[in-house]
Amino acid sequence: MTRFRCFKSSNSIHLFEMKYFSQEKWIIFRFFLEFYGSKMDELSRVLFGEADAMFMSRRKKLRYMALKFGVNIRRPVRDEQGNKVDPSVIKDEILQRVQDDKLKEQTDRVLEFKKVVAETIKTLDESTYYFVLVATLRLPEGRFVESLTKMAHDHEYKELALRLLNTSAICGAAPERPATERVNVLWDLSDVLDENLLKIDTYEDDEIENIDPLKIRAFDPWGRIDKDYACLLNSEPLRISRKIGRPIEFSTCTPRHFAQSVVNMYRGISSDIFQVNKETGCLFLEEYRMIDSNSSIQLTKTISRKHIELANRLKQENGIIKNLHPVKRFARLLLNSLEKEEGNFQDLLFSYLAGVDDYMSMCLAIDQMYSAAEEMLKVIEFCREAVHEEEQYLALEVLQSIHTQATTTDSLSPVAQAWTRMETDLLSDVAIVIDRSMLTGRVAMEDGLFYVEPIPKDLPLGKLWTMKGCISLSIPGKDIHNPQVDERLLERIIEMITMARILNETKVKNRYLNEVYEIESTQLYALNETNDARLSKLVCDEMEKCIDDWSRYAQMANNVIIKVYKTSNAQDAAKLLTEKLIDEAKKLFKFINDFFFDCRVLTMNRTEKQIVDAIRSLRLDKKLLSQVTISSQPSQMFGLELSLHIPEPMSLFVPKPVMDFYSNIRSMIGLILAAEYNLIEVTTHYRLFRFYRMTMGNILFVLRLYIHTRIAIVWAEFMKNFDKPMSVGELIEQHRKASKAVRNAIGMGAKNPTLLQGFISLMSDAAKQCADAMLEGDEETATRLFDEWRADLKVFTHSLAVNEEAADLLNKLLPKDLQPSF
Amino acid sequence: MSRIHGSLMSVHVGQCGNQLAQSFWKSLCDEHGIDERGQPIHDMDPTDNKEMFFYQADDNHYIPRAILIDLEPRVINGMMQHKDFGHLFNQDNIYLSTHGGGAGNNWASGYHQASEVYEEIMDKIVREAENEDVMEGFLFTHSISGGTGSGMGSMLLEKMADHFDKKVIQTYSVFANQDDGAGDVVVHPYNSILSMQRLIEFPTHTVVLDNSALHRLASGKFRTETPTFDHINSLVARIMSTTTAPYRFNSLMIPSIRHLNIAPFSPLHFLQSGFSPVVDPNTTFTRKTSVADIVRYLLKPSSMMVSTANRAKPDDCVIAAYLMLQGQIDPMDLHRLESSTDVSGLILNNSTSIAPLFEMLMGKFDKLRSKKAFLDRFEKEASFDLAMMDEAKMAVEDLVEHYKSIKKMDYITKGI
Repeated sequence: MTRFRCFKSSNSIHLFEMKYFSQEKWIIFRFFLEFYGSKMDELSRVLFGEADAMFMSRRKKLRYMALKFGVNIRRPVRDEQGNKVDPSVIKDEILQRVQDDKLKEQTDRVLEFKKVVAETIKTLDESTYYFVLVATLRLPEGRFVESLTKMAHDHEYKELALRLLNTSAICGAAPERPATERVNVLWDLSDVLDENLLKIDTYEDDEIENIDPLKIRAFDPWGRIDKDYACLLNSEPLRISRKIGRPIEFSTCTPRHFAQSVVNMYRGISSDIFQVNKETGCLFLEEYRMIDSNSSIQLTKTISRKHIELANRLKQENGIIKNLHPVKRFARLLLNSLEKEEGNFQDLLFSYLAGVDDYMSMCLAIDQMYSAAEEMLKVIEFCREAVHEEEQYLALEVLQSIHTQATTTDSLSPVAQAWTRMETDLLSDVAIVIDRSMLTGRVAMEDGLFYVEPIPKDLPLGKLWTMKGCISLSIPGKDIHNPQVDERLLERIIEMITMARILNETKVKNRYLNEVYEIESTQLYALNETNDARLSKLVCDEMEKCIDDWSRYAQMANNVIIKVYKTSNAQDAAKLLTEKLIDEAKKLFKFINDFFFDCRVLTMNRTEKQIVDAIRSLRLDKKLLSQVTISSQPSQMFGLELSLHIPEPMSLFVPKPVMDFYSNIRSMIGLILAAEYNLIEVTTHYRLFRFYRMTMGNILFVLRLYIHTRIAIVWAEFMKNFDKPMSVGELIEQHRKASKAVRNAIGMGAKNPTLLQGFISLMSDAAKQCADAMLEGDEETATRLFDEWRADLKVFTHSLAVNEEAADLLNKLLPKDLQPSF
Repeated sequence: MSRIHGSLMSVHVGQCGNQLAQSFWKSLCDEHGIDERGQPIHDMDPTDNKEMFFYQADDNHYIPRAILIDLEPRVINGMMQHKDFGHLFNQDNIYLSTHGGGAGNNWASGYHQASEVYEEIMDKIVREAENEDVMEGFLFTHSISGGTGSGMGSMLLEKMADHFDKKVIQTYSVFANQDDGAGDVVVHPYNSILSMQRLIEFPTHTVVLDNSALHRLASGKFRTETPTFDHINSLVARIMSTTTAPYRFNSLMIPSIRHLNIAPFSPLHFLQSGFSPVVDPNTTFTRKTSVADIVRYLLKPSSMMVSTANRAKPDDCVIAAYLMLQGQIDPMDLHRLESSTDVSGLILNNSTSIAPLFEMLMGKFDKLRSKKAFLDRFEKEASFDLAMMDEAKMAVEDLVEHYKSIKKMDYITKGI
């Protein structure tokens, strides 16, 4: 690095002190020393004291002056961001050392020394002040306090210290001191006053080779101006300084150093070349910097301009993102992914430094950096917009856009892979979120991934299944049901929500899960990093498979999530539970078939207890019998109507309305059976009664046979598939179809099945009463009831093929209290 | 009255009745998985209603609810010594005559001996019936062509009908082999007609088991010209077990014998039966059955196990019939008549086409009666009167007339 210090005195005598650093040498060139000697003298006096400074050679003084310039310009104290540390911070650090070191126990002395240090350094000019602070900071451990302690014993120091304490201002300019009173008020800095001071905190790999100042000559042995010296006189910095009429500080750097500074600039870190403006926060090129001797200050400025602009844009975007605090989980996942890519981006920038060893390779490298930074800016802008406007963007839209970028960006572009990696990362994260959400019992889809209409907590599980249509990729208030959401995915979502609810609700009632389904809680909850890695790999593998089908991106994303779900811990847990549930459900359906459609237990003229005892003697599934509650309620039509109360989660498969429907069928069949039983009792040979008995008995028997057969057909069809594996959703759907088929079967194809069932009930009742009358030998009553039964039969047969008008009329004719609630 | 699980008792009278018992109970034990000691072989099946025909002793082994009655010990003793039955039946439910001489193929002798011992037998029946909460009825097996089954059986039918007037009595009555030279009881027409009068009056249903038809079937299917009793009895056991299967295995449509509404017009309760496929248990079954095949076969008049089936007239009608299908049947097959596997079927048919059998019986009766042949054997019994024979014949004639009149269109509504 070439460093210039150019001074202009009132006599227009310029003093050059130049240190020229290159890979081979540095040269100290001294031109005019006489006028500037006072400055060097003063520095030496401050550093070494009056006595020592008086006998010090000019050359030595120059050296220390050069050291001062080197520290101040080239090796200031910088923070982690590369910004120059404020001198006050360094001062505080030094004072703290006084506090912390061996003088702790001597509190008074500490205070005294602190005051002395503070007051002493205040007397110095700005550049010397900074130099002293830096040099003091870089003293070896313990040396500073040792030096202070030594000074304390100096009588002369004491007096001066007292005088200083009494008369000096607390802040501001140093008091005027007569020259004779100038003494060495500084502590011993000799340990660091060499070139090593310039090597501290260096982050360059440049090797610095010291050159003896004696080798710098203005004139050759023949008295001619040295060529190098002439070149220096014609140098750009000197011309600029002459032009603007004031000294300038300038420095040169190696191409590698410049490239490194560009890297740091893109990282938002200050350096000797590019600094951050404290007020605006913007990066800028330090004045009068140039890239080695082949370049110029102007060219350096030109080269740097576009990089500075891009770096500032990057800094701005990153600044915005840092202040974003997204609510939605997907947005947070996006930021996580972006953070990883920024790390990759920085690694990429550093990789470009590898081949930089001269100006040309540096230009190539920084061009590559520019391209990479440009691409990265796009990524950051995209993420910033998606996160900033998280309410406006749908998760799949974002994924889709990322995917589009991944496929359209030039594969040779250094950042092309960033899009792909982000996409994979996001899908992996989404998969893990799904998995973890499931296992922690939370609703799986939230936070910007998908949106589910608010589901009431007390919504029955069976009803939950009908909420499938409420799942969309929309935002509240926007009427969008994304048609691209896969039907299977919707079902999986509902399945997950259902399983989560079952797991959560039955967690408290663990007895049910553990004892009935024999599932231990530990089997259900198994979070681990291995699973996360496995899910991530699975996502990558699935994306590889879909690579030819990415034109339908949403479908691909759906497939990936479904696949992940199917192999995740959540699915393992859900699978375990669903297998058990489905097994129990199949038994439940068998139980329903036995309980509802086999009506050997009549409810007429029986108490509830008698009915329940009778049911228990039927040898139905004991386990299911113990879990369900059998209750009865008075029914005008059926006497006592039986119903089952099945707790959750079994009620998922047979919701209450369907159970009521089956109960209704049961009661209707029971009524027919009761009438048949009564008719059987009539064993008379009396022709009339025999005729009545035979007619009514046969019709009712045929009716019952028909109903039983139709139900048996439907149920056999339904239970035929029980050997095949199926999901909860599939079983629910199959049962729904079966119950609908049963409903149609009972309706016998009539336009108004409800009316039809009403008439069946009426006929059964009439037949029963007629049988009672016949048993009593009451011919008149029996005949009346038979006629009533026949009239019911007539209407019944008509209602099998009645038109709408007639149906309305019949409804009006039939008393309301006899109409069955169906 | 509880209407869940009723019980049935079987009463087996005479040599034929008890031989049928042997086949019937062996079949039931096989179907319900009960070994020779009354222990269940496999796990309880919810549809298996063993209590219909068995009851459990204090040590929970199953005992048939059966009364075995004979006037000579040969058949029953043979059963008790058989390895399959020696430890099965309740010995208290067996009645053997003290003298062990039998009835000599004489209805009057059997009837007379029964009149002396019926109380003891009824005690057994009543005791067993009272042990049950819901006694729904009786299965009664006998032959009407011999002496014990016909004579004693007639007396017991009278007494049972009197004592259990609301219970169902279903008889499985074996009619003599009508083929010329086949029967060894020369007076079987007398015995049959006399028994027929009781069968007309007292049972709820009578399943007619025509030995002629059974022999013919056994000869054909078992590939022997001289089928043994075992062959015949296996066919009868098949009929009995299939007709009782709905009650024993919790049928939804016929949950009890009371629901068998097959005889709406008394005394027209004589039922024909037919079943398919008929398989020799000692050979390998090579035919694949289907619902369509079974139904088609069973609906043919010639499938009925009555020797006069080929005498069915065009105006003969079915009063009521039950078609019972067993096996791996898809309910849809009943409507589509498509193939299923392992299907067998039985038909219980109350049809007017049975009347020719009775006409044939009457013809043979008349032949003997006109010649007053063998009447002395009957007259020598104390409680017998020739008028009983004539009364019985009139009852059968009335029955035949009934069968004719029911074929008329206005039979149901006439007088109403």
